[in-house]
Amino acid sequence: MNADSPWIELRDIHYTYLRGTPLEAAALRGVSLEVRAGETVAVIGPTGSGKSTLLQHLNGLLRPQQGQALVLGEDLGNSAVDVREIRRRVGLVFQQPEDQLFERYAGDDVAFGPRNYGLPLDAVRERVREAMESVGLPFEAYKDRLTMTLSGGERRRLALAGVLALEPQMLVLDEPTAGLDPMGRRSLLQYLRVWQDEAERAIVLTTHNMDDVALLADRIYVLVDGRVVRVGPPRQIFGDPGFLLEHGLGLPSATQVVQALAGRGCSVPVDLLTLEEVADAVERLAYERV
Amino acid sequence: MPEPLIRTHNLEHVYPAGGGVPALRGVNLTVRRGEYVAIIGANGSGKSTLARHLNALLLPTEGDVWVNGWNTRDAARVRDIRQTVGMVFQDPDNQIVATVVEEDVAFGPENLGVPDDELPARVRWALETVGLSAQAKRPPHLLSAGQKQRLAIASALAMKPQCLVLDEATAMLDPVGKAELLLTVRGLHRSGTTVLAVTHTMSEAVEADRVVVLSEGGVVADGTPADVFRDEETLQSIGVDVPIISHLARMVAQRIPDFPSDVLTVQAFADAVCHRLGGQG
Repeated sequence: MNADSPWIELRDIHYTYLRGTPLEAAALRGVSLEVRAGETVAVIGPTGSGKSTLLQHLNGLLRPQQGQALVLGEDLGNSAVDVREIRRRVGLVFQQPEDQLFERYAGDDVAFGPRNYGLPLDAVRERVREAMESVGLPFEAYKDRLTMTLSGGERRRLALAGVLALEPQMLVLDEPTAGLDPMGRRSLLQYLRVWQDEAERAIVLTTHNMDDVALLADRIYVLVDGRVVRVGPPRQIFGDPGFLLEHGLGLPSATQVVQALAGRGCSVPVDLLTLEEVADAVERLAYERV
Repeated sequence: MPEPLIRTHNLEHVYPAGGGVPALRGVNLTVRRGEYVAIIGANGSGKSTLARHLNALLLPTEGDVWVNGWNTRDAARVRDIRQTVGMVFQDPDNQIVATVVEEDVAFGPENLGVPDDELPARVRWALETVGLSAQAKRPPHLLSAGQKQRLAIASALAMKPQCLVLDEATAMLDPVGKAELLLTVRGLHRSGTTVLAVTHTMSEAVEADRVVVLSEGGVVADGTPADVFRDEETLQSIGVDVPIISHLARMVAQRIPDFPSDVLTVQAFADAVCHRLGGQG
């Protein structure tokens, strides 16, 4: 793998569920996507547009039925490729944490991965401690808690800890903040930024929360009906709110305010992304009018 | 005064595996017929535990819960209670029981003894209300997360409950699904259904007539959205955010004297800006 080649390169991926049956449903119809070192890429799209199916191609949970998936230099279409190492380096956190938690005790669940990859017990314990602390589940307080008694937000963070304990270089997150309370959401977003800055790492996430996207993403792919219909940086994508609304997508809060102001003849720049920028623009508007 | 639809008295709940820490500690809550109540609070504050007491899925460790005047401890009334209060969970997989969408919706009313000739119309109505008519014949596991959530709501609606308890029912929906669902919920509320919505989305909480805030198993605030969200510092200290727009309004108010800091919605904010600035709005 070339030093500057993308970490992930999907080319014209097709995927159909229940292929060849009367119930077959095409989820991906020719998707190409690229993720480079250090990038945060957001995949947005309406429910059923194929986002989750796409994410499962990024660590070999699904192999392409058609097209090519190159992940960290390996061609996942080649059945001889061992996806075990790919799955360690590309950590996938599902939308429903219940889909990946199965141990009775929280600490054991986080330990499962590193133990399975043959790390010595002391090292496993350290990894588990570190991973749990970093997602805000203090090791001593949580390691012996029953997984099933944790709240929705705690289970979500535990699932993330289980993936972090494998020290991946990429995180693939399916709706990471759904169901988190506002504080939980904020601390998770902060943590993701820190995690990414610590080393050369990349994040791919799907979310319906456009404020998260505005905050985190370097690049956005808009997926509609199994196809990429637009790619670009947040300012460009959110600068065309009509297009997003047309496809049933939401807008960041800042964009919503900009739209509402424009509708009342109080125009501010269309590509504002943060509340700070909106407050600045409103303040300027005030002085201009005086 | 007529009997409220839901009443809890000193409701306390301790989970057997919770190490003796109560999930609810003495909740007194009264919900009148026709109210639209949002229940907010940090993860682990007891919201879901409270919701599960409202149709006898959980019984109090201490204290009581009455639905329509029936004590939820009265086993003979559990059926009536569950027909009165329909529940939609955070995770729809927990409540999907059938292998075909329309059968899942029919399961509840069938069990309640709804006559066979009435059943298809009711299933059609429920699926139409949540926008899943086209999926009626599909197996639920092939639905997307958002569609599953709407199926769970349809299955609850099919029992024509007087009260709908939504436990973060919109958390997994896309904006259109969310908007459609809120429209559905608002419609049901207007036609008389009592709604209790547990939510983390503050822009949804402002839709309600009344907001109840839980922290560590107790009610710490209860009032109109405008009243409850006035106190940003207290809410933040218990892990609850104000709606993002009220935060923005406060930022602007610090820069522009007289700007109203208590607006809660995008539309109200834009009105305030254009009005204050002498715009056309």
